Amino acid sequence: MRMPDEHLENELRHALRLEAPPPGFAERVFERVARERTRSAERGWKNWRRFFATPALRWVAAGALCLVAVGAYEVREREQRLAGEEAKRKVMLALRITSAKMQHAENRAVNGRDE
Amino acid sequence: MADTLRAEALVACSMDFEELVREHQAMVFSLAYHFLQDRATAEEVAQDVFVQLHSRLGRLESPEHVKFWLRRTISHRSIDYLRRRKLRAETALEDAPEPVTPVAAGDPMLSRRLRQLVASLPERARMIVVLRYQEDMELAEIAKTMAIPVNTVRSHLHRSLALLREKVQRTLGSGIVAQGTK
Amino acid sequence: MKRLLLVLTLSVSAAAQDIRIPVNIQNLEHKAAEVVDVNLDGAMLRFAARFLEDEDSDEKEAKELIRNLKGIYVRNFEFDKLGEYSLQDVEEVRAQLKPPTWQRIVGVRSKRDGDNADIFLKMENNEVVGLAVIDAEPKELTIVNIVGPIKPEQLSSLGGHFGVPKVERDEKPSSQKGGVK
Repeated sequence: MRMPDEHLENELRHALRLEAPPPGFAERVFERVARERTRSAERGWKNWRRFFATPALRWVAAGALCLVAVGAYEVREREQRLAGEEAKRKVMLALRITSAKMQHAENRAVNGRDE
Repeated sequence: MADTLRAEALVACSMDFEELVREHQAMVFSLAYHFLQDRATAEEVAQDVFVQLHSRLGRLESPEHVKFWLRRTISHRSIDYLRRRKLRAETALEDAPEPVTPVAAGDPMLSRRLRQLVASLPERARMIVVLRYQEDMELAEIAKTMAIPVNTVRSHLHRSLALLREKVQRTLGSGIVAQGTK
Repeated sequence: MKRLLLVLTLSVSAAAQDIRIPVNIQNLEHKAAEVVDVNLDGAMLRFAARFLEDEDSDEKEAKELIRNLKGIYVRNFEFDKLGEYSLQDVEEVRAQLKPPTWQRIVGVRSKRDGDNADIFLKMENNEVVGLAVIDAEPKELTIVNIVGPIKPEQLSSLGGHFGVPKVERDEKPSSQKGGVK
């Protein structure tokens, strides 16, 4: 007797139901993030210390910070980011289609059948 | 202008990282586990995704965007992990051995068998099946998550179900009636 | 019938493409159930590259691949019915990809299932400066043109990456003859 489609799909949902991660999973993630933040902060602080070592550069830095505070810059950044993410998505889609079709052609040539 | 910045700040605040981890850890871990069939590896890959989420949080615009990003990233990372570690299933789906004793529908053994069979699917088909039946995602959502055309998702799913059905049917044996059959 | 028309034309620079797409093929968008139309010139590729993440291995490889490219152009049409496009129109595209400029490295013709596929490389001073893929299936037509230098290892990667598994050659000798010309 052929297993009804709906039954197979229900069995699949049951088989692929959510699994609890191992105990302490979230805590281990937080620990890793904290470690990486510490490493990153140490690196960043060293860079900033060097930058502020020259007195004249402190004034330059203060002026630069004022510019960054301008709202129009933030809005433009956001728009750029959205456009960039969309362009990235299109690149990946194009490369995936190319890859799939090359794979299809090569597979037919090698194996004489569909993948 | 100031309102835009304020709104963004509120979104960022409302998406507390720790809350997001606790909310989505089962989903992310399960996607990796059902795909890779190894708990330790799934935890490693899932952790990597959350660590990456932490650095990306400022660029994600809403809770829905976070969920989409998590699903997409764990899918790609799991596929990539498998390719790099060459942890392919030892046997192709068609060659996977069948249990000696027929298994009844609804039996926990059937669930285990199905998971093994899913893990034997080719990588892309496997992830499509996992996204569909673990997350109950529509085909268009799966297509967007995996950045592939929706008809490709449809044909992979159709073929995978046909293969799984055939293997499971043999597993069930002729004498067993599937539950839910009318 | 639902149709999804996904036209991703950010910068139509037909002149930058190596392949001229016949009008009949361009017009297939009206018949196709689904269309993917990607036109990314060099400037758009540079822009997109800024957003490709090194932490994601696929994106990192994509970033490397597109670094020096001048364009990526993809036309993909999926149809609900058979016979929606003419093989003659596809031949018009193939006719542009002739030696010595272009070399066909893979060619598949299958009378059994009507599946034809070709991969071409554009060569200049023994280096690859372009790629074209034509995949003509009964209900799907795909034409890809990548313009710009591609390293051999990138070609190999392209053939088995970005979520698509590599070709695994059969362990046992195949007793079947393939549809290869």
